[in-house]
Amino acid sequence: MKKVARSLFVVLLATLVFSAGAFATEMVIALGGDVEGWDPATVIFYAAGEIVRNCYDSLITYEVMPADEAPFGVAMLDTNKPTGMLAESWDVSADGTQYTFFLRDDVVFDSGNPLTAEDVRWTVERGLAIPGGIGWLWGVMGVGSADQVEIIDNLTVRFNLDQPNSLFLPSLELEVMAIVDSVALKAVATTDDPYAHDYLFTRTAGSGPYVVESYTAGSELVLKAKDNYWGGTPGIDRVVYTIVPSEATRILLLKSGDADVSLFISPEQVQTQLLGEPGINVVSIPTPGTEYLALNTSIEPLNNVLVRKALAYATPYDELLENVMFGFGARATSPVPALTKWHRDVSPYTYDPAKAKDLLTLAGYPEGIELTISYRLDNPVEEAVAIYLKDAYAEAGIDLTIDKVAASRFEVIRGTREYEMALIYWTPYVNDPIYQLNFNYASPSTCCNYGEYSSAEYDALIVAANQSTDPVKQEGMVNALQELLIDDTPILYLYHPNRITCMRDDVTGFVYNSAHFLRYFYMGKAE
Amino acid sequence: MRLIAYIVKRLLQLVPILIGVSMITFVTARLLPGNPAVMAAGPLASQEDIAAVAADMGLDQPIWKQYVRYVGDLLRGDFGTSWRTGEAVTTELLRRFPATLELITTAMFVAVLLGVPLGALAAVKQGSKLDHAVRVFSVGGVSIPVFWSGLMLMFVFYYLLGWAPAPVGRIGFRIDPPTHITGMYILDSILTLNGTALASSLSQMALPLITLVFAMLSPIVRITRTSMLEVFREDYIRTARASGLAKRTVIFKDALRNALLPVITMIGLQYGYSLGGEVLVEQIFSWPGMGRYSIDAIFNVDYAPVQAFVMLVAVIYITINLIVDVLYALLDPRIRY
Repeated sequence: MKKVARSLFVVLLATLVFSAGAFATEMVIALGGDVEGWDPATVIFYAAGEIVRNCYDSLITYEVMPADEAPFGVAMLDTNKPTGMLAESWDVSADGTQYTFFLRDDVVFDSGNPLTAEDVRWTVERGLAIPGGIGWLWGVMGVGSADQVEIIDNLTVRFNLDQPNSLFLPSLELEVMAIVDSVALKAVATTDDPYAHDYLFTRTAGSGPYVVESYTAGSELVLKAKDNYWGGTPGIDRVVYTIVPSEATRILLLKSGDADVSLFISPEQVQTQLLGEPGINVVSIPTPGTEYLALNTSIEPLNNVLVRKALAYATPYDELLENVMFGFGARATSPVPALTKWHRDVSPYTYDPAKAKDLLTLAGYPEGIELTISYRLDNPVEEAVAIYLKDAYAEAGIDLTIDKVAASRFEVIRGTREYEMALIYWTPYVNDPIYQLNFNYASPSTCCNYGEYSSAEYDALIVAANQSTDPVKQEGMVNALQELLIDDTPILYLYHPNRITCMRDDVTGFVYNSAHFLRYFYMGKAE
Repeated sequence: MRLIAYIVKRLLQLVPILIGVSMITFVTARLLPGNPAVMAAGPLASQEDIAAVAADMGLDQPIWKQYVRYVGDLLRGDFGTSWRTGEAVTTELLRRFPATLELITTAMFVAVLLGVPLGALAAVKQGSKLDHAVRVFSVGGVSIPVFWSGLMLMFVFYYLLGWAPAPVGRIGFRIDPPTHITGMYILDSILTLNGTALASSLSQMALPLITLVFAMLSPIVRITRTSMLEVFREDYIRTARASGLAKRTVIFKDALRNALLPVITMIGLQYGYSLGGEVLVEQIFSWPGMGRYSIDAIFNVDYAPVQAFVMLVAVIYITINLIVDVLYALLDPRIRY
């Protein structure tokens, strides 16, 4: 018995010593939920997106703006400076319709296959073909068919657009535009699964700095650095995502140093538990994401612009920022966020219940109105917003009914607009004013026209802005669009929540990007 | 012999029950609010995209056709695939269920081992200090929610004292799970003589186990105590005592054995309930068990895992009921089947 105990102890000790030495540059990330399938063409959830971002490359990326030059004191990707990633360089034709990419010759995929122009073409074909995939975005970018992708030679590929499209180049940077290994995937494709979507759901076939080493659903996902990455070997060898559903547990893991980063901590918990704690670094960065209060303009009484304006004046913007966001955010004052180019401070609205009442009287509702606000049941922050709104609206004679909707049901009504008012967090895929103004307001209703806004004047202007190649003209049109929207008020802009990342203070190389992904290639750990 | 025939008969009854359960779960899963195609297509999808995804998932077929396909797959042992994780439900259940089974069975075992003697003792010494202490303790077990007791245990033993390992699930960071035999880490570590995995999985289980035992203990203690007190009032106990049998013999041989029937019913019910997953405990301790899996599936209208989960819970309940009935017969010779 003694012998057994002793050998057990030796094994234990050896494991401890071994583990301390072997993985000195390991990073542990405490994640709130499971990691859903990570095929780049269909990824919609945060964690899966981050896996794609670290295991694949896109054609282009942005230059890193160092912390001392960046506006928030944190290094960030500079969206004004696109630079090559898989493409070493590119040309744009004078009329803005042809983009020619010259690919790097030193890129290999996980399989060892070299990158070729066909990989780019097939990635587009695949994205367009997979149901529920990223085809819609290729469409928005002006690439409705894979035939528009022309293979010039093995390492040169050209996109032929019908018209200039200001969203084409910035969209190419996204993780959903990641280039996949066409040779490896064609080899595993079947008649039932012609684009190897089922295969790629839980595997990778990319050229990025990491591969998925292991995955245990519900528990853990491990990324391992590749030693033959064209960009060099990353400083972090292994990234361990540990799935910790309880927020309180994630906080304790971070405080005790067992986790290097804890994701998805609410502003209230950051404020009370983590801010100012020794060993903890809270990075809070303003973002272009916006909390919308969508007003369904297709139904009474919200089809009356005076009612919508009354709501805009009845909303307690500052109170929401203080009591719901605990200061981790900024007031939103335009359909174009402050961090997006050509933003203008167009909102005239302040909290003024008396004015709201006057507007309601003017609209023909001197006795007040009744409205219902819908939000996702699993979102405690939006719940708090709804409660504060109910109180504030009562002051203005608006009786607000709160309608908590199960997440799965909310996804449906968000598309069908079966709501009067809805709280929706919107973060643009591409931090571009035209992208945003097109998606949220153009009619006939695209996916995300949450206010069911419909204006011929607006539609004409947004099409012109997207097709223009003259930035000065575009800026003028974007200004006009902002004015139009703030006056028509299909959506109230409540606040821009900051992106809060809670990590240990020895984590280095955090680079902020508008998709909020941690990019381990840039990261490291201080000795 | 008759008992064996009875067990076989009960097992045969499983077949019609399972057919019924499969139909009910199939329909109720489809009554969940929301639409999996909308979820899978993502927030930016158009109506055409959603229709394409629905067709891809087979949701555009009439419901009876979907059911026929579902049953056909079931008969081949295929519980379908989760749209969210892309994994076969069978694979996930084989991983999740042992996680729950291991935790709950150990907790129940400890709770019974402690609870029945404590309850019996409290009844024997009714009104004593011990009795009061046991009662206060069991009120605590019922009224303190597990998410609070679990967090407090974690705060003290993990964060403040550093005795417990990081609450990251069934096994510590960087430690490979033991070779899969039963899927229960402790058992598998013993079977494969894997000391590292055994030490880690035991220490990982300590806090969730204590949390669960504390919650499970009090109903067992209380029902044992009440049941014992009732039996003490029976005529045959008085007769046994009067005829000069030792107090010890009367308490443990006559009273406890007779008092155990309601206790076993209660334990069976609670065990069956807990095997469906102790969501809160799993949540706090990142335990990748059944509860979290089914809740996630329900929230995401992920039909395949929801259906499989309900089927599994039905089988568990039926099995436990059968075991309870058999135990009745063993404890009480008057009961015959």
